[in-house]
Order: sequence, then structure tokens, then C-alpha cells
Amino acid sequence: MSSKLLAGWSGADITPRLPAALLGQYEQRIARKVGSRLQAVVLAVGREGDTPVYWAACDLLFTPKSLKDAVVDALKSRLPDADAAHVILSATHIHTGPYMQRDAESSLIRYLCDDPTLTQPEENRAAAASAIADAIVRAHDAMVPSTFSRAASPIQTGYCRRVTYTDGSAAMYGRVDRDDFKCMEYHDGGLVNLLYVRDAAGKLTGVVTNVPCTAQVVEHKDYITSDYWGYTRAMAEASLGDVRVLGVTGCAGDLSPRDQLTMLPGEPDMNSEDGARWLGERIAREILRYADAPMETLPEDAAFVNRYREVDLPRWNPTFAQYTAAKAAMAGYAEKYGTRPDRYPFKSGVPSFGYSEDEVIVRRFEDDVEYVKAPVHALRIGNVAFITNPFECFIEYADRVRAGMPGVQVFDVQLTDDAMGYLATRRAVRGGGYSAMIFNGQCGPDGGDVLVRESLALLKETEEVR
Amino acid sequence: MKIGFGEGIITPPGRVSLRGQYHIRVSETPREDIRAIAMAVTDGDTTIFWVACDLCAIDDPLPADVYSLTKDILPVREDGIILSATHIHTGPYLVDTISGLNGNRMIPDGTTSADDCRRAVAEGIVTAMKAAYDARRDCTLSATCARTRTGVNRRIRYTDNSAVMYGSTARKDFVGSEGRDGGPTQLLYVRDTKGELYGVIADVPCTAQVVEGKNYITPDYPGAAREILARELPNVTLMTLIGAAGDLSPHILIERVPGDPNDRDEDGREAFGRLLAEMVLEHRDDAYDVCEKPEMRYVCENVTLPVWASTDAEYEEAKTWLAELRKQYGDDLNYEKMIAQGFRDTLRFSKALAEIKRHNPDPDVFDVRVHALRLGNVAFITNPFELYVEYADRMKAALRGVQVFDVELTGHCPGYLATVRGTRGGGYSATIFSGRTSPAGGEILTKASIQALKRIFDR
Repeated sequence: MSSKLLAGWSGADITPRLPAALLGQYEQRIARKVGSRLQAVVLAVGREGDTPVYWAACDLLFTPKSLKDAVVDALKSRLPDADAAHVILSATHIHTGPYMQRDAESSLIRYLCDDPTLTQPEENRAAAASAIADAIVRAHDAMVPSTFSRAASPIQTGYCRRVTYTDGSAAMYGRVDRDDFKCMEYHDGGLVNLLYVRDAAGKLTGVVTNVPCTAQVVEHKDYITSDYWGYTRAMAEASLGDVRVLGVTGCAGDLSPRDQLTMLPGEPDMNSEDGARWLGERIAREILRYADAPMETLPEDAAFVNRYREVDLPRWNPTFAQYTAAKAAMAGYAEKYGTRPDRYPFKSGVPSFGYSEDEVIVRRFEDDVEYVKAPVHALRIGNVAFITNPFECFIEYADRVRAGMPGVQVFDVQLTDDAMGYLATRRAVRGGGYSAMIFNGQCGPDGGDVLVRESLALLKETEEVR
Repeated sequence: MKIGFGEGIITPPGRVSLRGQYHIRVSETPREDIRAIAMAVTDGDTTIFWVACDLCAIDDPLPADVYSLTKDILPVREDGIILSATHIHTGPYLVDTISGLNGNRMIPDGTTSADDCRRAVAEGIVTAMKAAYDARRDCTLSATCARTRTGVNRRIRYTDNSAVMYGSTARKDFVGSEGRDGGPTQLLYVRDTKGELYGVIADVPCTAQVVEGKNYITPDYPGAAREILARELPNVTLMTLIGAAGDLSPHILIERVPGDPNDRDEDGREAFGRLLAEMVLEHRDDAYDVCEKPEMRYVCENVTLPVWASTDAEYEEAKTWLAELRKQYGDDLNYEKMIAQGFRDTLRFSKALAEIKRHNPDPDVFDVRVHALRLGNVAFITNPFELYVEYADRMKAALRGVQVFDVELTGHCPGYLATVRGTRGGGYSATIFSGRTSPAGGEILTKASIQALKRIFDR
């Protein structure tokens, strides 16, 4: 007889002290007010007697490795077994939260504000790490025997945002009413995966909600907000009581909440709070819909297996020809705008994407690194499997992982444990455009192939252990 | 403007050979009647009839038969009758020249003849049209879309750049699907002047082929949806039209979840019907007003398309293939033996036949009919193909600010209309024998459809 499955929940407020610079767009935005508070929702789950897995879903653009390291570090004295393999940090990808670190490979997402009155990235990170670590301890302490049931909703949430044209090019958020519009590059997001957790008395304690759509409805606003997740949580709590929603984002690098093909009168603007509320409450209604009618309640002796690996992926490195061209372009920028890129007038003349591409090409060629490490978690509870990656991962890769696991409901979760940029497909790289350029991600399609292979290998390990 | 709805049963009598697969299937008794759901729209002196039929496709001369039966009893004009199919694979053949991939006749002895089937279908359509005409009343319209997944892409792509309809996703060289899944389901609600709902048009980007392999007559998921709605909204008629879905189907290939209803069996049909019914119910009160005093604009145009012709190289290769196949299957190219070996040789054979038949230095052309209908601020645009969804996306994208209901399989069906990407990947639905025109025809159709849409909106 296997030991009991336990689960515990908690949450932390990770709203930064204001004013704070907002991360997620290329223009500087300073938040001086809060629309909805940012949260980290934590689920602790595991077999009695084993080290649990602690999964924190954070209302942030990214959860960089520096944040993960800080959380693990903060737990050392209180939960010594909570190491990198047992702590999972995922981001909901809001564009209305704080910087967690100063540096970044591309100047477009580097912290460039020099206003000392703003909360600095280091302070944000320390505060968030401390709050998340505290929440993890509380979730650990709250672990009780639990049952799990699963469901899947067919509502459409994320939509393909890469538009292709007859000349073979592609553009994120490209216009579809151009005469040379050809088609969307790939399909929209698929199912919303749901895993309900109940205590021994049958009371619902929380729901893992895996949505193939990033939380960026109000991505251009200049205030702090948890985007659609805040509305989902509020509605779920209002309807179900003290229930936590662990919102984790499925692969959605090529998706967004906006359907560029079908925009109707009467539907909310998916760049507005109305849109965030609409999407958030729609997801909440699906949580409610299946709460008492799941597809399956997992057996009490369902296997629980956790695997973690830092996978070596080939970095997307430029060719020598690309390097020489980029180097020449950089010299041109320096001549024209000076040697301080943080002073460049990106909004008024400097091609920001072009500059970033050149900047990153030069840096990558000169530092001569061939492989990068990508943290991957594979977690198995019965016929439910979770697989994570640290990218804004194009959905085709999730398709390939899912197709490799027949008979299993796969929750694919991107933006986890690090911020390694977009992971575009071959089709996308051929079309180019933002999200499919070298500076957009640490890895290209070769890395994607390896990630799929290694993810499946890790998932197969969880199968064998069962 | 007045709109009315009506229904008629189109189930043929007796044992019926079922259209939709490449082997013979005979329905002994119908499991459920198939129907024609008609809408009559009158604005001023003009009345347009649109009939959604539980059929695999519309075949000539059915439209002419219907016109002939109605021209003296209803105010119809020949180009004002729009017949659409829901693409069930569990209904009758309407003409006996429709054949298996190798030209075999698919209507065995002892089954109802195609002429008799077509007669029964035409009579049911006329019943529906008369009922719709008599039920016309002043109305208001509201529209929206249901953002729930229905049809999914059924063409699977591999690392060698090939594509296969319903290809295996378990292969090591699986890359992804070829293109998009279906988008939202579009809904138009029709109410009388008292605000009472009496009709709903649902444009679903998914063909009605959940139970496509069954040996009985059934209207597939539209029937299941009608049944559920009849209980919930007894005075409301649901008319199901099919959006472009040549590369889509209700069969989930990639994102299967254990415990899903079987999407090739009755529980899948029921689940799909329930999904559609729930969409209709959920959105009936949040649709936007199409306009207070809706008006109708209508154009019907013939569009000339090139017949997909084979190249010299394809022609030569086809002759070689046929020689090879004769060695394997005998000089008479035994079809049963071939199909028993699997689909691959059957496809090769059919492709070769088409390439030989369509090897013509002066490619032929043919006409298809496109209907563009404006009701208030929403538009409908039809095509007769199993149309890849990319073309419909382009039509819809060209008319910003207008909700466009694209409807395939309307009028005599010339087969699939694949995209350039589709034909590059090849496979069933994207080769010369799958459709009468190639992507070149798709470009012409798309442009002509956009022009027709712009005309009815004065753009």
C-alpha cells in the first residue's frame, strides 16, 4: 500500500513597493498605482514521507534563475530538501509587474532606469523571494491527505499572433487586412487543463489551471495588475470559497489573448481591463463547470513521480557573416548615437529590434558559448503529467511532447525556472520577425528539437518509475 | 425584412448506400432521420431560400430539381436557392455516377437508386422551403461567436515535409499539424418583433463527420444539437452551416485527453452536439444587435476556375505507376484487393488516373457559384468546395468590422480546395484527384469572394 498523497496551498503578495518600473514593453513605464495585487500561489504536493514538490505560480513576466536561486536559498534553513529539483517557479507573463533583475542579454529588456526613487530590481527580487519562500513553508505546513481529479475545457483562450504574408515573411501582430495576407502561422491554443485538489473530506482546496495563453491582455498599462488571473482567482474564490488557483501558462510563445482574425462588436477590447475581466472570468467559469463533473478522479494510489534535469541545449549562435555584418552595424550606431546604448532614442529613429539583434549577435559570437542549460521538470500524478520549460515556447513543441505521451493528460508549462526567451520553430524562423530572431531567444529550432526529445525522455522516466 | 424557418425530412426509403467512404456501406434502417433546415428571407420583392441539408455534398442536378419543384409554388428565382451540405458521411448518394476512387459504382443492387434518393431529398427540401416561407415574420437579428474549439486540423506534417490526413502523431518524425484549427463558431439569432427567439444559424468550422464510419443513416452532430435544443428551446429552429473545414475534422489527433468521448462513435457525436447546443444557449443573450431594421443584400456570381491539370512529368510518372499497379493487382486493377492492402496504393492509383485524364496542354476551366448575402451588418459568403480554412481566413480578414459567416459545400461540390502549403505536403485532400482546381483556383476564388463581399457592403 503506497503512502498517502498530500497537498497544501498558500499564497503570497508579491506586489512591489511603488513607484516601480514595469517590465514587458520597450518603452519605459512607471507604475504609481495598483490595479490588482500580484500574487504567488503555491501548491505543495507529494507522497507522505517523500520530499514534496513546491510549485509557485507568480504574477511576473519571467521567473529568472536569480529569483529561483534566491527562493531556494531562503528555504535552506527551513526546508533543507527544497532544492532546485523540488522548487518550481512559473510566471504568468504579465507585462505589468516589476523587474526582478537588472541585467539581460538584450538591452530591450535590461533595466535601464536611472531614477533612484524607483524600487530597484534587487529589492523587488529579495522581497518576492522572501514572500514566495514564506508561502512555500506555509503550503508545506498545510499539506493534508488529498485527492486529485482532472478535466479539460475546449474554450479558446490564446490565439496565434504571427501573421504570414505571400512573400514568406511573418510578423507578430501583423495586419491581416493587407492584400498580401496569407494565413496565421500555426494553430491557436488548445485545451485548458484542470487538476482539482480536494482534502480528505472532499472539500475543494485548489485547482491547477493550465491555460495556453499568456496574461498580457493589459500589457500596455502603466499600473500594477495581475491581468486576467486576478479576475479568475476572484471569481473562483467568490464562488467556491477558500480555493486557490495555481495558474500556469501552457506553451504560448506564438500566441496571445487577441484573436486577430475575428473581432466582433460587443466583444471586449482585449487590450483593456474589460478584456482581462472577460477572459479571467471565462476561465473561472470553466473551473466551476468541471468542479463537480471532472473527467476522472485519480486513484488514491496514483503514482507520484518527480524528475528534474538541467538539459544542455545548443545555443542559437550567429554565423561569422552575421557577426561581421552586426559588428559593422554596431559601429554605425555608435558613430551616430554615441557609445551609451541606454541613451539611444529607440522610440525615435533607432531600429530597436535591429539594434538588439546586432547587439546580441556580436555578444554571442564573441563569448563563444555553444550550449546553455535549460531547467526542465517532469511531474507525474497518475495519468496526469506536467512538463516545464523556461522559454516562451512556440506551441508546436508542446504538440510534439503531447503527441509522444498517448494516454496521458499533459499539462505543458512554459516560463518556468528561468527566462531564456522565445523558442521559435523552423517555420517561424524562416518567416522571421519579432519572436523568431536570434536576439529573442537563447535557442533556436535545433534547441527546440533537443528540448522535445529530452522532455519526452524525462516524462518516460516518470512512466518507468510508476 | 422577414425571415422564416422550416424543416423537412430527407431520409430516402429502403436500404441506402451511404456516401462518404471508399468502401461500400449500406444502411438497413435509419438510426435517425436526416433533415433539410430551410430559411426564407424576404426583403421587398426578393426572397432568398437557404437550405442546410444533412448530406455529404450537394450534387447536380439536385439544385435544378429543387428549382423545378418550387418555381410554380414559391416566389423563387433560380439563383436564389442556396443549398448547403453539413457533410455527413452517413447519408445517401444523390447521383450514381459518383464513384469510388477507382471509378467503381458505389450503389449496390438491392439498395435505393440514386435517383430515388435524390427525389426524396428534393421533396424534403421543398417541404422545408414551403414551411420556411409560410413562417416568415418581421424580425430582429443579433450575432456573436462562440469561442470554443470544434474542428481541428487533420493534416499531420513530418520532417520530410510530407503531410498526411489523419497521419500518425506517434511517428518519430512528427512535426506538428499543417495549419490552423477551426476558429470560433459564428452565431446569428433571429427574433420576432416581440423579442422571441425563433431561429439560430450556427456556422461551425467543423464538418459533421463524427460517426463517419457507421453503417446507418444519421445526421451526425447537428442532429444531436437539434435534439438537445428542441428540449431547451422548443420553438427555435437551429440551422447548422459548415465553415471552411477542408483540412479540419472533429477527430482529435494531437491533444487527446484520456477519457474524452470517442470522437468516431455515438458518445462523441452526442458530446459534439451538446457542445454546439451549449454554445447556442450560452450566447443567446449576449449577442450584439446586427441592426434595428435589418436589410438584405444579395449577389450570386459565377466564378471561372482553372481545372487542375497535370504536368508532362506527372503524366509520364502516372503511366509508370499504373503499369506497376497492374503488375501488383492484375490488369483489371482489382479495387477490392487494392483497398484491402491499405489506402496508399488506392491513392496512387486515383492520382495517376486523374493525372492521365487531366493532361491537357490547354487546361479546361469550370464555373462555380458564389453566393454573398448581407443581413444587416453581417455577411455570408459561400463556396462549393471542401475549402481549406486559410482561404476563409483571408476572406474574413479583408472585410474588417463585419462578421463574415463563411460557408463551404454550397452548391455542386468540386471536391477539396487545398492551399499551396497543402499541395506541397501532398497526401489525400491535396492532390490532383482530390479536387477539381488547384491553389491557383483558390486564389481566384478568394479574390472573387472578397469582391462579392465588398459589393454587398458598398466598399
